[in-house]
Amino acid sequence: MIDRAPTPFSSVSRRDFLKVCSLAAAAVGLPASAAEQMAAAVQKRKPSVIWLQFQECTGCTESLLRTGHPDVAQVIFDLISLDYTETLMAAAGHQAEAALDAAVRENDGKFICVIEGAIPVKDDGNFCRIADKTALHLTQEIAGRAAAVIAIGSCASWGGVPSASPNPTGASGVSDVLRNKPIVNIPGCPANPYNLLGTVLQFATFGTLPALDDKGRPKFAYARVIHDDCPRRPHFDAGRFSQRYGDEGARQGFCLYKIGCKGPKTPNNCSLVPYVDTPGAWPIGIGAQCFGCSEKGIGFNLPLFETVDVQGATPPAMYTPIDPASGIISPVATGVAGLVGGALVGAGLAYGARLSRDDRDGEARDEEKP
Amino acid sequence: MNAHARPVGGKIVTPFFLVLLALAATAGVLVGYRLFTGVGSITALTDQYSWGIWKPINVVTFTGIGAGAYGVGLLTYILNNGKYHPLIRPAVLVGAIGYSLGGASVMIDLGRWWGSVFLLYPPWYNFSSILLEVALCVLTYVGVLWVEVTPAILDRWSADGSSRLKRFAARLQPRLQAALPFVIALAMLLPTMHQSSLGSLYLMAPTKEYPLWFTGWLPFLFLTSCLTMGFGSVSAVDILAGSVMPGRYRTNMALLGGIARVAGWVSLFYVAFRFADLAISGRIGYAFQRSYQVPFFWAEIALFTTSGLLFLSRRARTDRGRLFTAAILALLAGAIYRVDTYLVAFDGGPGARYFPSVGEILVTVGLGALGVAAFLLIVKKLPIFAVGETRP
Repeated sequence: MIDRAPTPFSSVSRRDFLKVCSLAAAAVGLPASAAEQMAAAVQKRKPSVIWLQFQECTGCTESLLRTGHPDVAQVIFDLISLDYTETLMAAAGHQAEAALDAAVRENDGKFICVIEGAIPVKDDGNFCRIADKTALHLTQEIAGRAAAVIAIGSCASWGGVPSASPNPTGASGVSDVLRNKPIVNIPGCPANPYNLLGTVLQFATFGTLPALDDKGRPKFAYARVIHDDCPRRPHFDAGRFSQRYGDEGARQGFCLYKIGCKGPKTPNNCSLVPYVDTPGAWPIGIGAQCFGCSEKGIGFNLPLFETVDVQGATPPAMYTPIDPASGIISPVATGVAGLVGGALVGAGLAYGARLSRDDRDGEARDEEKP
Repeated sequence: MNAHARPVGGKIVTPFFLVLLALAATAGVLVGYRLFTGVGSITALTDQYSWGIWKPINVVTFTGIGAGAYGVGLLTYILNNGKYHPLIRPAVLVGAIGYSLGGASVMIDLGRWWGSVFLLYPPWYNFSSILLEVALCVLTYVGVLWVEVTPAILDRWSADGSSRLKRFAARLQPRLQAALPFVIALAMLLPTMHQSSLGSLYLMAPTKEYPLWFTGWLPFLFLTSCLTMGFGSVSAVDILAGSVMPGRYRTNMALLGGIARVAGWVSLFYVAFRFADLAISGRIGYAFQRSYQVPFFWAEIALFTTSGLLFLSRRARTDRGRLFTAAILALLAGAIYRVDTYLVAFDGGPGARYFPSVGEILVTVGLGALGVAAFLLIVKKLPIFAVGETRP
């Protein structure tokens, strides 16, 4: 990773190229056979990607620059055609605007628009302007002509840090200002670049978007909450908690729930796909509580030390047998059981009563005789 | 054993006998179906409730009814009270039948019943299993009980068998007489072991058992209550025999009165012990909580107390009906305690529930009917009861 030398674009061999495709497929959890298809698709025509940046910190771009499997050079040169990005492009000023205009025109209705950062909507969006166009206007004009829109980061997904109370600029997510377009939200602060790559490469190869949950997040990455796959989960189940920063529990690596970890409410794959290939490079990995960046209404909304409700108190491995619809109580069986039991007990008691009567009668007769 | 015992005789095939056979045949068909299609096909068992009524009723209650042989044996042989001797043969026969049915029930309840042949192969035993102890003990005891029944068969042969059978019986009888003390010793040891083990089985479920039932004394409580059941079954059988054969068999109320006294005190001791255990371990509060298990607990206590007091009442010495009622209630009390421990108090887990299916109930009823039919057949053919002695 460290001694990674940029491969000269002209000298890419088919073998190297297939390797990149395999890496990309593996990174996003597609089967090895998808690499072949990916390579074939990319050779025909690389998908055009236009990357817009509004109210943001460039953290999502920065993390994309640090991917290793495949690395960003391979991605932007071999797998996609990144036609406009303010951070990476050499062009500036009118040149840059011309490139954007050309890319949109050439790939009208076919390109992918990635949006990084929130969109201010207060005062006609006057708080963010690029080439004298507001972010609101750019979103509606450019993203409105894309085949699909990917909102990367918590800001683009639903406002993120710029939308934190009192939200003076009316910062909003893409889905708040753009309707009638397939929008994939990849929240995270910053978002794990592999979740973006997986989405982009699936669209590039198969022309489809991944299955999404109710908040527009790809299920392949956001189906389970942090708490389900947390490396500290056994401590939670065993009741071992860190009570404050730096205490004995914190040093032992105990569960951070009681200092406000939002893992039980926050869906993401942080513990499963290491952030930019560095295992442990995420809040819980370094001993800080998850702050809920990838769940709307938690990150940048709830106080850092406030605890959240635990949705699944039972370890996830036990979800299936914990509450199965099991056991049938058939009304016929209860009837039969009642009849059999009642008949046996009733007959026994009735017989006892009859014997008692007989014996009393016998005694009475015996007494009469003498 | 009892020189005066004679076969009851009479018609074997009566309408009642045919009804019993029909019930048993129904159970037979269901069991055959179950053996080929798996235990889930006719039962309501689930992963959470893998033991249904076949365990607490067919195995534990049937053997509890059969524990009359153990109870009367204790009185006769250990306490050396020879006067109870006439009650031994019927009690042993009930025991042999009850235990055979219980053992058969275990086999049909086993998921992979064909594996039970390995009970004959000690190298594969799991010696830390309570179930293994129960299985071996019960199987051995079934054998012991039938050995205890054989004197009746030999008596019959030497009385009116062919000349060859007579000679065979004459040769075997002295040997059997010589061996009987050992057989009887075994017959006292084995039930002590497995009747308590039937309670020990639930020691493994401390977190799943309702606290009113879970106690380290489970084995002792099972042993105690098997005695009351055994005394109940002996009394009930003897009274029934006297009342269906008036003039031929006379229920000896003096004899049963002695048994009733023991049974009564054991019942009341059981109740006192139960409460003492709950009080000392601090679980008595559970008896007053609002939970569906609690009424079962009080029903159990009420039955043990009522049957105990009835057993001890003066009228029970002369009134057959009073004693019979006490015996029936004692059997019911023991049965409810067993079903409670095995099913009512057992929590299979959230969402899990169990009630026996019609198939399970029919198999249980059919096995019971088979037992009664076998008992009727054997007492009519073999010298079990001392009949024909009473003057009208």
